[in-house]
Amino acid sequence: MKERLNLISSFVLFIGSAMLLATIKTSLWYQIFGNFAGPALWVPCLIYIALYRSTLETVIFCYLCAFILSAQTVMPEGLLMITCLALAISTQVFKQRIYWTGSSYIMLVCGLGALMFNFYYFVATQLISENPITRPQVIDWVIEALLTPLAAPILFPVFKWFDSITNRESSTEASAQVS
Amino acid sequence: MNFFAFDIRKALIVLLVVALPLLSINMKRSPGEDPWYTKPFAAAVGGIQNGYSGFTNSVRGTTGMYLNLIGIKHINRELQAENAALRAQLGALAELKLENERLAKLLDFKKNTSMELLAAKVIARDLSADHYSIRINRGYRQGVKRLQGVITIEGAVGYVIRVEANTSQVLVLTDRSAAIDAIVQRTRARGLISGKSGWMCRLRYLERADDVAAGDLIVTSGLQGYFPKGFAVARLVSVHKTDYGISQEAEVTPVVNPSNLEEVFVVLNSGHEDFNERFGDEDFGPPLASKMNPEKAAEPPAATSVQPSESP
Repeated sequence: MKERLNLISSFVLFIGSAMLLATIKTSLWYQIFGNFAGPALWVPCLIYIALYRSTLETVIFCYLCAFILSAQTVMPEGLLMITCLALAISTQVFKQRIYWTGSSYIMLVCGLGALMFNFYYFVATQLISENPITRPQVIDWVIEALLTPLAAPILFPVFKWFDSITNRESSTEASAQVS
Repeated sequence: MNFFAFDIRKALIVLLVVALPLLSINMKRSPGEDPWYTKPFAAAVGGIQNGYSGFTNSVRGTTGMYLNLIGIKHINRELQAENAALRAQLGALAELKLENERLAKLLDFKKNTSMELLAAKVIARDLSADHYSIRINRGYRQGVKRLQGVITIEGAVGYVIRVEANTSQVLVLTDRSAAIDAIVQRTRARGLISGKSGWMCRLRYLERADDVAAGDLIVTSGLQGYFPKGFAVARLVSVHKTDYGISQEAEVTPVVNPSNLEEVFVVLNSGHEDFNERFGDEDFGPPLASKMNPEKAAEPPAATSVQPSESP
């Protein structure tokens, strides 16, 4: 019972963080820097879950994350879900191939994640959408990919702290050791 | 020991030593004149004293300068802080002035129209760089409904697609999924404006025989009732006519720059306002492309380009 409560509270914390971080980009960054591309701050959240949680938990989180993000964009929910899933699964595959501990790995994965999120969405619109992206904003993608890793070393300790208060550290450590 | 036996040389030296001060004391000196034998000493002493004085002066000067520097540093810091505060105030005042001018224009526009408008502030943008939507600080509590038009004084911006209690999401017409019914002001040719990317749009479903040319102003048709009739949307840049088919397509740039939006109006009720009766082509600003590239704007508009398409 307690374990389930911990699991739910962990989800709530991460979902809340993803919402807050996405809002920072859409609203706070916009108020300060206007339309200049900002960091995709929700990506580290998704990456963290993909790195340190089971595939089932990651999939559930991807769906929840898509719902949260869809409130702040006109991207269709379905495409968002596919994009988030593709990003999470490719992160897990990447982790199985390449993994080392330290902030450089986190920064690398988050930077790649921010870039791949946009790329997967672009591919998804080409394959599924009736109205695909014709002129992708590649410069914005690159700026996002460069800015996002800067926030990752600050965010990951916070996520680790979430794990410690919800007693989810064991799962984090286990996943790290397995890889 | 013979008391009276003495060395005459020693006696002379003693006499000389004793005599010199006595002679010096008893010599009659003219006032204001130093004896010649003190002059070298006086000169040497003077030199040394001058040296000391110079040294102490320079030490005092350096110390004073250092102390002053500390003071100046402190004053400088205070002045810099004051300067920064004043600059910030000035910036805020300039911003207030601009905002005041902008709001005055909006208010004037609102007063002089029969439309029921709701002023709103842009509070957020889209999460994705490949989509163009904004969020405004007005929702259903303020009377906003889905599909209501959103405009500025310059022209149409987009329409409401999602309404919350106190916020609404507006799909900007440059987004790929946006579409607005529009007509060419000069020839009344009808088409559908939809987003393309960035700050370009397409005017689709124009009849093949329609007379359209670069520079034409595209205005709202007012058919759906979400927008007032004849309100500026975009300017035509180029026409693409295929070899076959019943329609032609044009590339247009919106008159409103979607990335510079701060305050907008939600058209709660268009009130059958017809801007065709009130404004001409010249009343609306240049297209966005010209605003972003003034050098090109100075050139005469390019001739209508007819590009045969590969597809039938």
